[in-house]
Amino acid sequence: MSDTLLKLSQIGKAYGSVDAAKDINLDVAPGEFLTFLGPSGSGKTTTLMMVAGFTDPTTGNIYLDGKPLDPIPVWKRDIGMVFQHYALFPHMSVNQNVSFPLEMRGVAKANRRKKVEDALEMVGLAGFGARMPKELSGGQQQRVALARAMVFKPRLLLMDEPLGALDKKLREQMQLEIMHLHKNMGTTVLYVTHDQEEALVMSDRIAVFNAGRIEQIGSPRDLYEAPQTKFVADFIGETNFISGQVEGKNGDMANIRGLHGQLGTALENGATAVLAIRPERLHLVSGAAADSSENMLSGTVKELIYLGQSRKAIISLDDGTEIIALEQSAQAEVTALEIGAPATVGFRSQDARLLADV
Amino acid sequence: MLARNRNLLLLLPAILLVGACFIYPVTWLLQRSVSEPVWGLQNYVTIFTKNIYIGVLWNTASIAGATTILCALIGFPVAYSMVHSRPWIRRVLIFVVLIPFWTSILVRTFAWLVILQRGGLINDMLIGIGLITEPLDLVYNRFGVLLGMVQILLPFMVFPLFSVMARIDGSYFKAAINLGANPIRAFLRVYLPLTMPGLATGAMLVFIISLGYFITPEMLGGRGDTMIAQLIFQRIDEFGDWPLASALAIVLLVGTGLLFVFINAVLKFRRGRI
Amino acid sequence: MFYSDKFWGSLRGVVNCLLVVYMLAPLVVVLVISFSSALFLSFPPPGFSMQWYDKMFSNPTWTRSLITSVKIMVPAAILSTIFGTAAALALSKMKSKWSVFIRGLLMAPLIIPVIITAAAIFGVFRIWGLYGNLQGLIIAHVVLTLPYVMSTVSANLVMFDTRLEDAAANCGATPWMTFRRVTLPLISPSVLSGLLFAMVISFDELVVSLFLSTPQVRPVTVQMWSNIKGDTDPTIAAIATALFLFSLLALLVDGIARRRSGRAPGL
Repeated sequence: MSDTLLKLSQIGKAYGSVDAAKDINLDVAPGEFLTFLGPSGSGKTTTLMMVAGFTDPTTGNIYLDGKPLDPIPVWKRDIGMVFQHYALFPHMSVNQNVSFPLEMRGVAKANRRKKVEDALEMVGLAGFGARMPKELSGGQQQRVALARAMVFKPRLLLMDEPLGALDKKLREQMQLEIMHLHKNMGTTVLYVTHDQEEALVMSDRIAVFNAGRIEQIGSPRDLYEAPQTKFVADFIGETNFISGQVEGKNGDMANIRGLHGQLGTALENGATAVLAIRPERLHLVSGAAADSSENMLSGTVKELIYLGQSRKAIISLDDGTEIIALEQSAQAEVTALEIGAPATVGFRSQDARLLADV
Repeated sequence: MLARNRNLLLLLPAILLVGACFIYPVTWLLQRSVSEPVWGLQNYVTIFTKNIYIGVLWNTASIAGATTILCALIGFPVAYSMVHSRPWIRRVLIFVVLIPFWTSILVRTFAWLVILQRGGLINDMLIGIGLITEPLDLVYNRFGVLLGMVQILLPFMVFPLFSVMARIDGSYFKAAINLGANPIRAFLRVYLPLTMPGLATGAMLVFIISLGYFITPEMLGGRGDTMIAQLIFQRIDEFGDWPLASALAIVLLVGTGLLFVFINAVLKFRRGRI
Repeated sequence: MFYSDKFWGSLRGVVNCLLVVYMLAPLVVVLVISFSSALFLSFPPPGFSMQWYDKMFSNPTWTRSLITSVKIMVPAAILSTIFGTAAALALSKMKSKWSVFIRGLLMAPLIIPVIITAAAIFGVFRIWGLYGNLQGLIIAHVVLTLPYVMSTVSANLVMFDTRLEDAAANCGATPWMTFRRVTLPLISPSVLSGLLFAMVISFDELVVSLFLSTPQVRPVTVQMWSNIKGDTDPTIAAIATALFLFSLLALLVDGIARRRSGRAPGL
């Protein structure tokens, strides 16, 4: 129990006949940075709101430190939260905003000042105390919101797409700052985003949400290299899918249309499935010549896209499926493909995964 | 050149009319108030020293004040309800609140008379149920006046409040309760302050407009509820006491004007700080 | 839970219902009484009858006052619309600082408490021989309704594209032709609104008319006033309902006119 700070057990939220969230099970370890990743409407924000207490689950229970969280109203939960548009109180100064949670907890005035100063310094805004929120830039408001959420040293911090409103450069900068803060303070963080790159950069673990359910939880590496569902493979990074039926199942390997791969999930012979393979795991050879790879596909080069440090090749296979292959520029020069010319695509079986086709 | 002349020509009838039949008469009142019986401010002195007149001034202020407070207490939940209701309900509410603008004050005040009088609707109902045996005095007193005035002036409070409330982001309240404030504290420390501009505008409008009211207090009020407008009418109609009546009118005019300017200035000042 | 959504939802429902009752009850009561078969004001009425509407149209006092009201309203509303629209047009084209001042001046009758306007006009009109006759009442009503017309038309002019007038001039139209064929058709909804507004306000006007009326020349509102202060019988309810229906009709006409011209109904 001591290595689970937050436990979500069979959590579900239904609005009438629509399930905004269903069968959510999660164990969050203390100090962990866990991201809820998914498209809009996938249930990630709904789940976060249930942890915060703004919505009550229709089924299931939430436990914080082993104790049930459900009967505790929002204002007693002691959980920090950063809202999507910061929600800084416009009629209060930065100092007053950051001091607000301390006031609510009855901290004496003298103590409050010190804590507020420390919190502002921690986010790099020392001296900004007297300003009003409308005088600050988006990034600065972000940091004040963070300071306000952290000033009372909560054990759990919730962040609801906090960087969505910032421009790319600022966003990347803030990502690093949040990660550093997380390391320094040792707070457990639940982070909601739809940006898979952001999730990959910042998280210890990622929970991928789809249509109200968690499809997979794992480290960024696990999710990228070993996706268990087609959705996860598709949502995180780019993937090629070749569809067909499972054949020749042997232990944890099987075939689709003669192509050999690892079973990403439990499948039986005859099941409708897809073979998923990442573009960068494909080996390209010009011409219809045989390649030394275990698995080979032949087709015609349809498009070549120059990306600076890499080059994408879109190959049209004989049966019409389009495959995307990614090569680093140095390698691309060697392969020397031409548009319209035939090409062979090869890959290792251990790099291909068979997933259920839904 | 031609355009300028044409503009002036277009404006002329309106300006002449308002000038001759409004501006001039008001200055005429002013003149009468300081020139009779002799030149001087004696009429004004009378108003502010004689008990009857002070009483009426006090009535006016207290009825206007009570109306403002009641409008705020009623208007706040109404405006809130409007903001958070489904669109069709909101449209119905807006229509209902706007009815005062489209019906004459006379009609509505008369209607209240019918409902509130001793042989009227409410008393008949209450006696019929057996709750009371003697009819209640619901009209020709402060209660009746306030009931009538609040109904008429409610839109002036609801609409400024509504427009301010509609712009308050729901996440402020959520952030407040997340940070440890229970709903009551969150309301008092975060939501209410954010509605202040609307509340202040509404209060200013209601107060200033109710100061000059005549029909409602005259029809629904008792002798102890006489407001300044009724006094002006009385002095002219019954006594032909133009000097004093004019002075009263000027007092009302200046008072209204000063209040408006003063409150506006305070509002502008505070708005700059938020 | 005390803080659950259901609780607040039903509380809002209660607030809404109470509001509707508070706002509408008086009107509904008046409406019902006007059809009462009883001989005096009582609620609920014992039966249905059109007697009070009959009385309204047969009693000479009432018919005379109704006619007086119309005799005042029509000229006043028309004059007010003409002067007010002209003023609105002129002010929209004026760029000098004077325009703000003049606009404030012309809006003054709207802002100042009516009792002051009433006493002032009465005092001066008595001297000018405009007391106790139609002319005085008409002029007074024009003064009172002009601000409404002006602000209604002005609001529309703010959105009016002056380049249309430039284009007309370029096509050879004189200023008058431009107004008649381009500007006026385009602002006609708000001019109509202003006219209707002026009509309703004039018909409902009491305070100024109270000062300027005599038993011989007396609009219907003043007649109602003296009746209420004297003995009340349900005829007043019929008149009140008629007044209300008149306003409603004006509102409806305005709404229809706006809809046909493609603008959203509003105030």
